[in-house]
Amino acid sequence: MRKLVTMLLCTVLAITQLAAQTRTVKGKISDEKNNPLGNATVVVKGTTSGTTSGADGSFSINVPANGKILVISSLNFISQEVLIGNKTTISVSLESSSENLQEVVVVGYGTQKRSEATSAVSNVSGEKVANVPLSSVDQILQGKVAGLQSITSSGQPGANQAVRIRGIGSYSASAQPLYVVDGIQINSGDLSRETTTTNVLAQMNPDDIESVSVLKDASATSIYGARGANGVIVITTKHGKAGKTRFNATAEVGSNSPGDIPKLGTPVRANDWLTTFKEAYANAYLISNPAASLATAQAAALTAANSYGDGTVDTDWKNLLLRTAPQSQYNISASGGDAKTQFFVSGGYFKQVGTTIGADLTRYSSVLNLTHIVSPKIKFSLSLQPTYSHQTTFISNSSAFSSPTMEFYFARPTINPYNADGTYNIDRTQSKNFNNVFNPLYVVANDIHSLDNFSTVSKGELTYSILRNLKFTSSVGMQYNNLEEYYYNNPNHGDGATSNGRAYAYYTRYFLYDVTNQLNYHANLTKSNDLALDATVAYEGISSKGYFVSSAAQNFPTALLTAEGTASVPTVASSSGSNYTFASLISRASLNYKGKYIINGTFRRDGSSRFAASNAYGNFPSVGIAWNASKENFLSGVNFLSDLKLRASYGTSGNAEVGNYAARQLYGFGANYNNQPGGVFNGIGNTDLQWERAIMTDAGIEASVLKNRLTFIVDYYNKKSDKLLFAQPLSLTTGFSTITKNIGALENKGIEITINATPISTKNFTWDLSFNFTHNKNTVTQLPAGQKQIINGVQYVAPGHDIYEYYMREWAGVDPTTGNPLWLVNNGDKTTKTTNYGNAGLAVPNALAVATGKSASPKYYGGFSNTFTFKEFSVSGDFYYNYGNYVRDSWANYFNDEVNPSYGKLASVLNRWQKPGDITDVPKLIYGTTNTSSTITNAQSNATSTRFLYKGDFIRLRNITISYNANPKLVKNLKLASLKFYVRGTNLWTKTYDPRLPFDPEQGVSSQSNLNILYNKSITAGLSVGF
Amino acid sequence: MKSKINIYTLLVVAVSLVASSCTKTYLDQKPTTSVLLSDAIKTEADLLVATTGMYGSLRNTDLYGRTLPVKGDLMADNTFVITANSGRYISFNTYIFTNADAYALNMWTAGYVAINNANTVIAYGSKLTATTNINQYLGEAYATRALMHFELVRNYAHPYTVAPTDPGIPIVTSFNQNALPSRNSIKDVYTQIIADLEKAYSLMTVYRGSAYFSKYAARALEARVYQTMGDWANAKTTALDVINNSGVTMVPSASYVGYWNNPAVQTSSSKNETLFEVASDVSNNNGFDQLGYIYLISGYGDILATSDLYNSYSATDVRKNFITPGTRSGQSGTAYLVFKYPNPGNATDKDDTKVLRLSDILLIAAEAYYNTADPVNANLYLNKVAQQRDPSFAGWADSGSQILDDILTERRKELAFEGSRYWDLVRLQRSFTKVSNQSPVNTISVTPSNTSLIFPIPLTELNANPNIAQNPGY
Repeated sequence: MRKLVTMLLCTVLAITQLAAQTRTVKGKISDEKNNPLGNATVVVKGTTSGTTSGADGSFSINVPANGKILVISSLNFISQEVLIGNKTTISVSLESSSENLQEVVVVGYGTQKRSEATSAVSNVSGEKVANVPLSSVDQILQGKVAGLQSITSSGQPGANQAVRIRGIGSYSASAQPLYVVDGIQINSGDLSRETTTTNVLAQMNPDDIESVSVLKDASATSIYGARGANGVIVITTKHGKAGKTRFNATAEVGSNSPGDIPKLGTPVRANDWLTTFKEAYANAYLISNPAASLATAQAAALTAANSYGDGTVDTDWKNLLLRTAPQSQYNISASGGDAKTQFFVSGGYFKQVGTTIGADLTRYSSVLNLTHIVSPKIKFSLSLQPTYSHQTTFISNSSAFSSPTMEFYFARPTINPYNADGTYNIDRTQSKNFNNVFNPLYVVANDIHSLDNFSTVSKGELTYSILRNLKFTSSVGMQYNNLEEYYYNNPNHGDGATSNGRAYAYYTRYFLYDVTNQLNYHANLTKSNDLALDATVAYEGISSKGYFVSSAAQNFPTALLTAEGTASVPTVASSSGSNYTFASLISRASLNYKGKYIINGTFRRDGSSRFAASNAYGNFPSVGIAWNASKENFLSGVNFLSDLKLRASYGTSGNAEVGNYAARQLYGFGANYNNQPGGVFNGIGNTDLQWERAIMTDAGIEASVLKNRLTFIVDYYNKKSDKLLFAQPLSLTTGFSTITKNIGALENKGIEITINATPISTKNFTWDLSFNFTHNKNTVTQLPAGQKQIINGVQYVAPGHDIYEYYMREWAGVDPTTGNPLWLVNNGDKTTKTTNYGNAGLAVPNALAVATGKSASPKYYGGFSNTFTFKEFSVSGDFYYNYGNYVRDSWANYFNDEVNPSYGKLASVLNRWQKPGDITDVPKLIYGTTNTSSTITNAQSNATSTRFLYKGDFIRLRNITISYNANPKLVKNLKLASLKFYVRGTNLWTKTYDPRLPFDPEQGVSSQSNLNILYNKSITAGLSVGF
Repeated sequence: MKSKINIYTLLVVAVSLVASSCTKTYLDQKPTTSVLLSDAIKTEADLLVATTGMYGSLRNTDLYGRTLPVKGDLMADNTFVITANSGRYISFNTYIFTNADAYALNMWTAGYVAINNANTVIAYGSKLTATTNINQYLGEAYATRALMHFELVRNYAHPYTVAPTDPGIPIVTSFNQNALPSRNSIKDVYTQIIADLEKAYSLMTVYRGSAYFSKYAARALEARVYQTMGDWANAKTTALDVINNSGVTMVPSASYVGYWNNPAVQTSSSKNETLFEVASDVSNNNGFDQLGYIYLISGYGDILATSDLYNSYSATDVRKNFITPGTRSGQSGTAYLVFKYPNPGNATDKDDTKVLRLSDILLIAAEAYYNTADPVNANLYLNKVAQQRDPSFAGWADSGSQILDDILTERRKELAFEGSRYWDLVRLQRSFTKVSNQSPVNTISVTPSNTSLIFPIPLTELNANPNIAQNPGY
């Protein structure tokens, strides 16, 4: 104790002594064009003294007696070190570093200078993801990173997003990347149980993000071992900087309108509906009664149609179900501190009202990041990111007749949603009313489908510099997600009517902790400091516990109360859990010779609870090399070349997303019967289960020419995934349909190109452009023994084929003479057509389904952006493009050809065949499913075939922003640090390339339409003030 | 300063060591709602739970939950799917099946899941020291295994009466995850079924209510199996055993509608009508996919009775109450609405699916007497049913083959919407007219040569199991 007191005293004395000997240095920081650079960090090297520059670039700093060098740094600029000497004023001009080789990249368990990294890592800076009217950062990443495909399938505010890095690397396990937030390997994706779609990342305010790093190759992902195979997205939140406290406030308001539906895919209105109905009915009548006259048939058709309506009711469901809705976000943050303690705090409010009725998201987010330097050796930091959100959805888009997106297509325009007195029509008794569908307006107004979501990501970290070159870091990270879902169906109309009202309450909790103890060592191995070694060893434990409580009740005494407790009959009361753990040893060593030659090796050994004890551990090594050729003497004369780096890497990562208990043979309960508890053998398990493995090879060139005016990065990769988990189909006679085994392999090969250029850069005008391009080719290389192919619905999985190749019958158009549908027989030749879809044993040959060679995955995708800056004004546009995939209308059978005549129908029906000679691809309409046991008609014209497969190519203007950045003089006069005003359009324009396409081509990873909420087109205006 | 380094270094080492020493238990995470199969069944109480779970699997929508009772009427002349439908059972209504037919796949899958559950009870129950209850549960499992093999063999193979040596279905009596069985002959399957039922009959001594198999429920199933095989001597013996010894009685005609409207299962104090039924209760049911909802307008309301069926009942026949003429939107003309399963929305109990009823066994006895040249008893047993349901009816008194037609008519009326009609027509190789739609009239003329009369072996099974052969026509 005495020792400690003495030590403390010494420290205090030392600090006072230092303070006594400081002096002040003033100066100004500017960029290459001599514009003042605000908010740059100035530190005295080797001390804790630091500050930031003001809006006019000026700074003033106290320099201790032992301070010799000033380090000046700013985001997107190359750091500079300046010898202080006797100077009292120092002016520095920083060189822009955006996207060039000098930036620091986040790699797992540390950071590296880009020039010294051996891995394929893409960085997206925080400013590129801030203030976008999209609810989560993964949505914003679309088109921004080569090799990263981000696919929206729903315009639901807060919707989950599918992200694929370097193709689809798995068949049955998850293909989503691992997300790491401030070093914590979080539970991501959709954790809800009843909500149609939610997203853990939507709990995070993109405004709080400092940077996003996308780790793609082995050299970067192997250090994440069993969870790195699908790529890793590392998100770092903003941290405080020493200096004057800086506030930044942003307000953005605007509106969302529904995305485009092509004309052919728009539901028809009453007159067209009735006309086609009558035509179809008469056609069917004549088939059933060949002797009848056309007039008789038409009379019968008129009678039948009249039961639906006479055209006086003509409801525009589109207008009633879709809407233009407000969008707003307000963010305020403060950042600052002194040399010892720095903080960043923020608060955010985000509200997005969906463009379909009954969908919205409100988010209240906050961040507190605190760092305190106890002594030059000891530092700790604390981070807290509590967020609450409230999300409203409606019942799963495609599974119930009360869903507005479903009724958009299903509800007939001849139904009046309102009674004469203005109340909702909920009559279900006649064809003029909601006899086979529900009134979605009433259901949305009276049902509840909500999610209250509270989450925090928090972390405590202690860093201790044991020696000058040896640092120990211990951190405990936690992620807590608390989801409360409530689902209520009113007793009067909709899904709750038959049970006199019903309600479901779900409580879901995930608690994850991630403990890491890490040693970092840096050493210069030679006296001349030519050879440096960086080494990291770490031990990490991750534990996730899921806890689920469910209850349900029905038979409500009144429609006035919606709480489950008022219902008289409880139907569900259950709780369960689902847990997993990982325990891992991590190491990395990097040798760097003169910054020219770098070799980097990583090794991780992972253990996981998801596998049986005998298979619990796996090893994941990687090696990467880099050569900074531009540092060689023989290239020093090449003036136009700023940087040139060649790199290559090889290694393995794993994919352990197999389900928490897939390795165990299980006997489960809940198979209750006659009010008694029952159990069954329901988990076949597989004790031999292991993780999937990805063997990744990558070769890349990073070059920068003309003083970084033009930089490009090109990567070639080959990712061979093997030991893939395949649900090997079993003979169903075993009582199980599949067993999951590590069999099968596939590969993703591709090229990624990123180009950043500044074609024009003058004092007043700058043009920046960036472009990225990805080509990925997926090929299945091995399937379970004895299986030539796996046909999973319309998905054809076979060696030599893309994993998302479509398997179906091939449409051959409509016979102009008869109006009958035609398909290719496909029994060897590719020309014979038939009217028989699939009814074997008839005189007419039946069509066979084939692998079509068309895939749901794009061949090429990427983005390009242009930014024009003129004085204080700038205009930027970001495009996203996608080429080479096919999208399928998986609901076509309901809305085409009058096979289901009592539902709505698409405008394409107007192109139907009507008389011999008509050339069209819509066959003759025949009411209902006509008997085909003896004759062939178009009873199955609406069935799955390439008729409902469309080219998925599109280009979308993701973002167009016009902004005004007030000039520093004005800002200074207003006593502000910065002032920016902007107007932004999101998804305003889309170009598609298939004239037959009935919906937007962005339809999820499997490219199948699912009657989801349309994407949003948003126009927002924002004001951002720093002070 | 040096000592401080050591303290921290020790701390680092200590933290690392603690972390690694608890790795083994740390990595052992057990599921919360399941146990390892090998630990699951160790006591009589455990075996009861497994037996209960086995029955639960019979409630599958594509077994007794809905598809089996629907198919037996819809693929015959009793019901049809209306035009404005929800897309369910279209293949049954149109006789158009592909080898990927969802119902053919789901029934096959669910049938073998139930068989596996029965085999689990048998495999683990046989290891326990026998008690009266354990024997009872084992007997119930043998009976359930027989029931599932019986349903599968008649759905996926030719009738025994036509070609007993044709491929039947794979017999599965134990779990083997690598099994790729070929089809046993129809004859072998029936031999196995009879053996299981005999074993069940001898093992069971406890009556647990109509939701579970009992000695006489197993016997009743045996009578139905013999009827299907056309083994009339055995059909008669087994049917009479049930009629005389089960203690199950018919309810008076005045109570008959009430018997259907009340979804409660039968207990030892009220052994009315039912020998075995698959129970649904308020928390364990198929929700929207309950049997009743396919008929009721409050549900899907997709299926209507044919006018022909409705008209077959006399005005005084109590069974006429289950069909109400009315209207149905999307369907012109009179709609014959089915009300035999009125309880899907009942907040306290749900409709059960009757699998074996006494009246069925009485009619089997009548048919057995007819086929063993005893027309007097045939009419006697036939009228036990007919006159109970219609007290004003003078009784059947025909002779010759007309007796068989009378029996079939009575079976159609008595067992309507219980999934029986189709199997009578198929096993007797009758041609019939299937109504696909009543207005506008649309019919299919079904002859015994129609390949759609038996299900395809599901494509999924063919893809996974190279040893299995497909049925003709698929």
